[in-house]
Amino acid sequence: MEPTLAVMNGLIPVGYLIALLGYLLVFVNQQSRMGSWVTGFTWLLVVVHGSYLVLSGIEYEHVPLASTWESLTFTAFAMALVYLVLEWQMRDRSTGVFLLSGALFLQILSTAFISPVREVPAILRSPMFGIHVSTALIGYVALAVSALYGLMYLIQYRQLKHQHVGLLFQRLPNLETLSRLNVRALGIGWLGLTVAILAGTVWAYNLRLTGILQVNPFLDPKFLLTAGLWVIYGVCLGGLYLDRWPKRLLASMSVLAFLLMLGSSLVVTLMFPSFHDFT
Amino acid sequence: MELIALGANHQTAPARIREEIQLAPADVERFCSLLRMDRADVPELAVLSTCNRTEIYSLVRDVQQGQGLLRRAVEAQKGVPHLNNGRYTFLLEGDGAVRHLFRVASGIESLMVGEPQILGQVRDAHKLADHHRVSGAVLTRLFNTAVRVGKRARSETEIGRGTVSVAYAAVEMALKVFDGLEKHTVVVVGAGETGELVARHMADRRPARLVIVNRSLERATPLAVELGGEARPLTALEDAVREASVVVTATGSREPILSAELLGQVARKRSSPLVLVDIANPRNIDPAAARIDNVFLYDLDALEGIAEQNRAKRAKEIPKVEAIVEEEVAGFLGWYESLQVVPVIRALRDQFHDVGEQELERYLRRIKESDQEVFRAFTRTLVNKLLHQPTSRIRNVDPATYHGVHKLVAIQELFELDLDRYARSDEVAELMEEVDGESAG
Repeated sequence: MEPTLAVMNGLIPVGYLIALLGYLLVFVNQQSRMGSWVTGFTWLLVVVHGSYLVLSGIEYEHVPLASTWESLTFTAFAMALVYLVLEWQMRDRSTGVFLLSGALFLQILSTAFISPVREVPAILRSPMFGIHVSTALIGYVALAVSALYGLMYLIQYRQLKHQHVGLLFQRLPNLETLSRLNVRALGIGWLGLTVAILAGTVWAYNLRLTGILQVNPFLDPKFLLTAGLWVIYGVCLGGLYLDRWPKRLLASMSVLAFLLMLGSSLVVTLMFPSFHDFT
Repeated sequence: MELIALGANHQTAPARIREEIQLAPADVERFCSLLRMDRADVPELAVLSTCNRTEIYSLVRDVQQGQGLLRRAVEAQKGVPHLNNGRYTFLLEGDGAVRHLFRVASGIESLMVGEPQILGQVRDAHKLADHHRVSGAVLTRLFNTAVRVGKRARSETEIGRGTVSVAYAAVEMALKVFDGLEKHTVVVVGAGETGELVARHMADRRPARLVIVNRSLERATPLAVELGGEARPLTALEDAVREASVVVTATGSREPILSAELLGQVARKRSSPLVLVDIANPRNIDPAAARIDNVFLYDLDALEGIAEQNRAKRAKEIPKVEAIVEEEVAGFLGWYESLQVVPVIRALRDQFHDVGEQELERYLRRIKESDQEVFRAFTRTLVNKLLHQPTSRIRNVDPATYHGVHKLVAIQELFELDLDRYARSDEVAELMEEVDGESAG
């Protein structure tokens, strides 16, 4: 199966490039007829990419998240999938160019540097690991997407306030659509983190019982960081649905929370030891 | 036969003159019947008449005689001699007429550059001519190409992007905040001329509720009923604003009728934005409201600024549209000029010989090499003999007459001849010698 995987690994970034060019044309020309072809092609690409990940898991007998490059291709897949789900819900293709650019960039890096990982610790062969890490990654990607839509909201808000009717004003969706995209991506992200935390907690509890895990997982810096972010995003969603927070506040919060997530992840990864190192 | 465009438009005549010569669809019917007896001199015509232009596109036998007939028919129809006055009119011939129609269809000749209505008006002009049976093969091709130019201009350039009217700019800004108005309440304060115009634009977007607030309900009620909204007195303004997502003010009040304080209170209770459009002079909304979070305030200057930015952007697109126009003019003229005897004969003969050679190639593999040349000669001779009679008939067609043009178009359409690569040529005698020689062989 390895030659097939190698061919797929080479073709997937080409697919993302084609999809990106398609979305670029849709963004510039606003052609709806062409848009449905681009969307169809991208769904097909995501199915192929998903198949590649599954086949890779079968061939190498572990969830394909054991190395940085494996995680990158999964992140690219998650980014395209999250975007397509949002596009399907909102019927808006004008932001595809931004999301697909990110997916292409990650996939090119992965394709260039990925190499088969045959020997992995036994812990990484656990299905719970797959659920925990994949839902966490999908969650983080969705939160990144939410931050991107939040940023677009703030840009469009500023243009509307100052009556700048430039290219971005014309091409970006209206504030209401951007806000919905922002909130839905945030919802997907929060749900992803929730499942990841629950799966991780159950898994860690079992590992503690069997004696494989010696440390207290709830005092792990990465766990504390994720739990903190989960609370922040939860407060944002609660504020929106229970207290009718203004959409602009939510957009700003999603951008700030994402920046906080990036900054603190960097600090935690570089400065604190964690059992969350699976590579 | 020559193509001409004769008429008056906003660049050549003032509004009063344009109004007096405007030809409504009923006028066009009588105008066409007036010219029916001159069919030999004016075989095809179409009238494009809008508030900004009355233009007649026609195929004429002789330019001077044809334009005289058209001018007199307009005078007889409208009772005014304006089209005889060179000061107000223009006359374009050949490629000039073709280019003008394509420019008109693309929107770059419109008073409001890039406006979309003109394309439908061009299409309707041809439909009307077709309905009165005064359009033929040439004008049909001309107008179909014009419609294609208009579509290309709008899809391949930004000539139609962004609104250029102040009233519609208000709607456009609201639609950049909200994803449609179907779930929102729109309040229009003032039922005067400007308020009514904006209310109509808003009503086109089918808001959940359209409320028209006015000092006198006598004026607001009929408009509200017509637009499917509700009318309220000015005393109910505050309540109406509290329910609204979009508020448009257009009253003659000398003082602001909506204070920043009230709007601040309203905005604080909302999670979604509030759009305020103040098209009154002096302004009806306290300008300080623009500083409130989640409130978007647009006054006349802002809307005019937006319209002006869009106008400037459209103006930048004109060279791109002109390139499309020139490409299509060249294409149309290539076709029109090929409606001559020699290009048609050459295209017909080449097409038949191509078919003969294609069929021959299919069978040559089964034929001995020594016999192949005989079969080639046989095929050439057979095709030449088959074409000899039609070629002689086509040679006698006079392309200077409308009847002749029509015959050439019919032959072209019958055999689906691609005439583009056959340049205009009048070497009939030379061609016929060639044909006679080949047929004899």
